[in-house]
Amino acid sequence: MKIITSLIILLFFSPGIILSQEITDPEADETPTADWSFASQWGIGVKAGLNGIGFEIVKGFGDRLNLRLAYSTFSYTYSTEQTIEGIDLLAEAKATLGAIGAIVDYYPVKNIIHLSAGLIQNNTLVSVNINPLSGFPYGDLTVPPEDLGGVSADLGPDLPVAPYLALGFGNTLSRKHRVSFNFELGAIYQGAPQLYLEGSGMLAPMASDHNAQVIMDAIAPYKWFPVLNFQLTFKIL
Amino acid sequence: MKNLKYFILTIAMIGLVGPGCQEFKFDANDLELGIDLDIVKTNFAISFIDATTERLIGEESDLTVLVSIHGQDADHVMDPSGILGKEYNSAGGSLSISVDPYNVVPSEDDPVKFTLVAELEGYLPTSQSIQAFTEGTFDYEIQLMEIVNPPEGVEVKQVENAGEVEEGEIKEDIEVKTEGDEVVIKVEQGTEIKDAEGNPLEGQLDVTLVHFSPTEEEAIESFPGGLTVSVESESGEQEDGNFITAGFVAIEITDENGNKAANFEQGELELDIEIDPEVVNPDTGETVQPGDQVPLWSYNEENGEWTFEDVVTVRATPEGKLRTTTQIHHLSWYNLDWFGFGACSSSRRLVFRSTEIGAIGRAAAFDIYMYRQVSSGYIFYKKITFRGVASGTYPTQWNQYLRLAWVPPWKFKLVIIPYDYCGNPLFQQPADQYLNLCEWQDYHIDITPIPLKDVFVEVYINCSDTGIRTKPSQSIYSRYRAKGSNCWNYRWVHNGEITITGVQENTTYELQAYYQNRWQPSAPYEKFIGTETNVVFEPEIICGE
Repeated sequence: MKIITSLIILLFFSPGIILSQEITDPEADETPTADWSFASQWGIGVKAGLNGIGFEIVKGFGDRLNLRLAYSTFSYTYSTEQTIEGIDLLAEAKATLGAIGAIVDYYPVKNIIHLSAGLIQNNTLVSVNINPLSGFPYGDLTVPPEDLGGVSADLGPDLPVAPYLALGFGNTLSRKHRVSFNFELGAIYQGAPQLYLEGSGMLAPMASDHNAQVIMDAIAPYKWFPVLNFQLTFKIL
Repeated sequence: MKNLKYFILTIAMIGLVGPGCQEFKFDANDLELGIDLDIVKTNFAISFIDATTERLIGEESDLTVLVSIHGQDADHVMDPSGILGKEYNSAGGSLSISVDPYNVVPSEDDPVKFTLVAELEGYLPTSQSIQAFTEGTFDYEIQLMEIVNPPEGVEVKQVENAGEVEEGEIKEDIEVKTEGDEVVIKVEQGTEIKDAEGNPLEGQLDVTLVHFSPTEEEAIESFPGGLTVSVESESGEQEDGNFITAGFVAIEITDENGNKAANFEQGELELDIEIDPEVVNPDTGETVQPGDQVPLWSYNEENGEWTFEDVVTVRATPEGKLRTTTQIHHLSWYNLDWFGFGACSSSRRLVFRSTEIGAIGRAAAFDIYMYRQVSSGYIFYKKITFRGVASGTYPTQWNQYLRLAWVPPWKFKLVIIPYDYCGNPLFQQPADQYLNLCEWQDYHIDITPIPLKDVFVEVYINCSDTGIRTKPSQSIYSRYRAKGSNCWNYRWVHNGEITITGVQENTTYELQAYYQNRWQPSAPYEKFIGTETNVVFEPEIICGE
């Protein structure tokens, strides 16, 4: 709920700020450029958001259309120790975010609001490896960690290439100014997330098809991957 | 108006992303936290059989056999839940034990070896040498003889007030004999009798004599200690091998306080044993003759080992009988046996197989009666039991092969009788096999199944104490029966799967698993089987931490 609340606050306040900034000089970009040539209206953007950090190459067409080629990436690792069924386990997780995509922006209100759509290769992947740190007591015996084995899990999108829809505030490529700012809220349709479990040794049953299905059922509603991006674009041509 | 559009678009985007932010509904209890406990690779199921009734001792009563473990690998014997121990009690006539997989890995060159000594009040104690050359599940039967109810070929003589001692000294000569004079013992006046702690016996003496015929099959089958033995040889070295018996005698003398005689001082006990003239001397290949020599062995009840005592000479009596006489100074079991014979330490592999698809998954037990070749034909040598499960496709081969320890390099006839515990054979009796067991090639025995209804059962164990639900990959000794039947069938469950053969449709079946030295659950798990051929059993047991 906190996330939703934050998003709503962000949604209602961020555009307002941007709008207020742009509206102070409404005429600045109002002049139609109608420039469709290949040689002009190019920009390079840097961005940060839920897809990671990255860059974009932006090409403007006319005064209401931009085409963007985007790349972003980010990874984060985390580890924790847990004791399950008498076994001390080390869980190491690595979350890789990222996308490569082609996006078209249409500006129903020039320089202020755009609707975006595109195709994204969603590189989001969460990998978890669980390995024992200690032996497992079995009666008077201690099963060594190497016999216990381990469990690994990969969680990723169902669709490797997925449609993307977004609503943006600001401009991904200003027609008049050298620098432009954009805030974008959208979602990638990734389908029900897919989980791949693999186990070895004594822990192999933890990675059973049954367990994979239980987890997949729990995460099945998460078909849309949220995207929240802040971007600065520098016009180069 | 424009602001309204922005608002609607914003709400639409939240609608798209919304599910990604919804509360995560996940119940960890839905996960199966199973652990593959296939740690224990070498398992033994021991069945304790009454030698006369041929029923499991304690299956329908509270009788428990006390079992102690001795020998080379005794320190590594444990129950299947990993608790090391050297003493166990049977449950329902069965005992399931295993060996520590981190210290004992049986192989052809280094088999796992230990000896079980089994004791039960009112029964003659016995022992069994256990030996395995590979990992797997192995089944042994130990026959125990109830002293007051002996099988064919066993003579028991119990005499109360057979003599009197005062401060350990016998006041008058004592002579006790079995009904057919198979065994005669004499102790002269003045001989001192003491127990194992050196205390003199006092008062009236009771004497029990037991004689096992060396030629009666039932008597040989229930031979205390079996015929595959560990001995302390004449040179004082430990040796493994097989006995060919010429007769066995158990003697017990107790005073009125219940103290058992162990040693004789200032005199000795004369032991006179009749030799059955049909006994074949393996040294000569002919029936035993006057002048033949036979080693005499005494038994150590504490570790199940035999010790060389003497070589006795067979003599002919005026009545035309064959007898041996020896003087002994300590009381034990005494056995007239030939030992050795250049036996091979492990026999060729006997591989059971079937070309019938109906054999797949079926468990089978075989009683194998071994007869050794002598000049007059074949005479009974010993009986062994083999159990296994037919697996694979074509030809279906049993998951275990049979390999015997210390087999003489003679020609044997094997009579193989399939059975199940409730007298419903699942396979046809194969032809008798004639072979030398010390050759090296595998020997195949073809088995044909009898058409019966098979039901494939998956067994999931619910551990009531740990909450784990698992399809156990370890081998678990189990038993099942149709509800209402008084006869259990005993089986190893491998990888959580068994095939029950001869199922009666629309019948409730009961199942118990042998774990932590008892049958669980104590009230058997029940499952109704209708016309289906695949069912799931889910017994709840205590698995232990």
